Amino acid sequence: MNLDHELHRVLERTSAPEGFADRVLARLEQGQQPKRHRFTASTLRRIAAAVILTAALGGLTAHQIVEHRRTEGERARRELMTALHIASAKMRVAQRAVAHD
Amino acid sequence: MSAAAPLLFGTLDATLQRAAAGDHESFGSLIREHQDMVFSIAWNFLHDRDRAEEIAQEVFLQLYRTLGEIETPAHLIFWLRRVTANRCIDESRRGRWRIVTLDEASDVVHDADETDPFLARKLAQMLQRLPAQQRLAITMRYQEGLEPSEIGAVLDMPLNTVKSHLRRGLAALREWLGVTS
Repeated sequence: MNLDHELHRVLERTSAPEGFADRVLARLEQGQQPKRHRFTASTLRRIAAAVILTAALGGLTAHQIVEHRRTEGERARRELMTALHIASAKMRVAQRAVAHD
Repeated sequence: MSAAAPLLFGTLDATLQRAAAGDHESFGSLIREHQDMVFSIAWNFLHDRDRAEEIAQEVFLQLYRTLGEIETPAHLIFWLRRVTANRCIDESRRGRWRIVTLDEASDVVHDADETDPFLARKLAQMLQRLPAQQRLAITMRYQEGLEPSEIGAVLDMPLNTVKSHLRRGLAALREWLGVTS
C-alpha cells in the first residue's frame, strides 16, 4: 500500500453542496451575521441593567458592612466604659476600706 | 505558488476589485471559484456536512467584511485557507466535531477504482483520530498540495513544527493501518 497515494485520493477536494454560493449570498443580502457576533439593542439593555443592578447591590452590601462595623464599635466602647465604671467603684470601696482601717 | 508571500504574485484581480466595491455578483464568482477548496478543508477536518457547510459559509461572510484588505488573488487563497483552518481548530476546541463511523466514512472516498475501497474507508476514518493540528497539516499537504513551509505560513507555525506534525501523523496512520514503510 502506498500511503501517499491513498492520502491524495482520500483527501482530494470534494464539491461544495449544490446551491452553496446562493445560500451565502442570501445570508449576505439578509445582513445575517453569525449569532455569536451580534449584540442586539435588547441584549445591550439587559447587559446595562445587569451592570447597574450589580453596582447597586454591591453599594448596598458595602454600606451594610460599614454600618455593622460602626454599631459593633459603639457597643464595644459602651462595654469598656461600663467596665471602667465598675472597676472605678470597686477601687473607691477598697480605698475607703483601707482608710477606715 | 507561495502562500507565505502573496504580495509577490498576481495583480489586483478585476473580480476581486468589484467584489470589494460591494458587487454581489462578483463576490458570487469568487465564492464559486473557491467554495470547493474551503468546503473540502472543513469537510476533511470535520466529516460532518452540515458543520462543514456552516463553517464554509461563515468563512465567506467573514471574507466579504474583509475584502478591502485582500490585495491579490494569491493573498485571497492564502487568507481563505488560514481562516478556514482557524475555524476548524476553534470548532475542534469546542468539541462539537465527532468521530465518524466506518459507514459514514464511505461518503468521503471518491471513485476507488484503482485501490482497495475498504482500505481507503479505513484511512478516512483513521484520519479523524489524529490530533487537530496533525490532521490539518496532512489535509493541507495532501488536499491542497502545499509544501511544509507553505503549511507553516497558513497555519502560523514554525517549519519544524509542521514537519513534526506531518511525521507523527503519517507514522500514526502507518501504525494503525499496519503499513511498514
